[in-house]
Amino acid sequence: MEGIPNLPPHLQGEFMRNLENIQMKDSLRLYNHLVQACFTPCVTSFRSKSLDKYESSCVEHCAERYIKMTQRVGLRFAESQALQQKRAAEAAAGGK
Amino acid sequence: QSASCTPLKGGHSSSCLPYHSHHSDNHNNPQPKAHQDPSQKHCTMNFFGQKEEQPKGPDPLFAATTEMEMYTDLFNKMASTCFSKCASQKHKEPDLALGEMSCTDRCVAKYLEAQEKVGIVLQRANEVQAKQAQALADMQNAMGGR
Repeated sequence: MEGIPNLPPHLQGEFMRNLENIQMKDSLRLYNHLVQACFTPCVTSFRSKSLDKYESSCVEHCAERYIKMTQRVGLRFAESQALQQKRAAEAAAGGK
Repeated sequence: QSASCTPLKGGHSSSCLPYHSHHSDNHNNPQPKAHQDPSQKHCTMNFFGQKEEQPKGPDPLFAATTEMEMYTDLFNKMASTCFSKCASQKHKEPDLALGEMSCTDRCVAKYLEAQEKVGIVLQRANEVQAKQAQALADMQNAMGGR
């Protein structure tokens, strides 16, 4: 599945563990980034301690939109990578 | 049914990264470019049966891990940039509008193309620098030999 970087088999287990660590770090980083990215446009006044209903729905919508956009970006990224791989494989095959 | 991106799910770390093995609509694992094989360390015997030194190079596990981190970073920056450029900051609806979605597609395509071009410029700069370093080393060797 992820034997991409041509690692010898005895290193692949460790690589998978590293990959999981990276993904865990990234999930937490995403969380903080998302909070900041949504707080900035949505919350503009500080008359009260709690979010009013507009700010609250704005923050929720923002988070949902960001996640949907991230999924879409991931999809297009994967397509582009697959296309690139295909071209590289064709070039390699054609070169022989 | 879409893959969740919340980090707070107990134990199991989900992510929106396209190469995560549990991503629900991951039909094609994106593969990093094949041109950067981490150098494989192995012992070779030369013609006289003496062990040659292991080729020096970046540790393959570290190289692979770093490459994954690079892709993670690329993905995060791309998603963040395209979000700030394409999504209206009003956030009235929980869904993306059609225009925002096509903007996203184009943003991704342009971002990756820009990344390629920057990569080429960087590579050229590295080559020039390497040549200069080599020329300097040669000159020092020639002078040192006297």
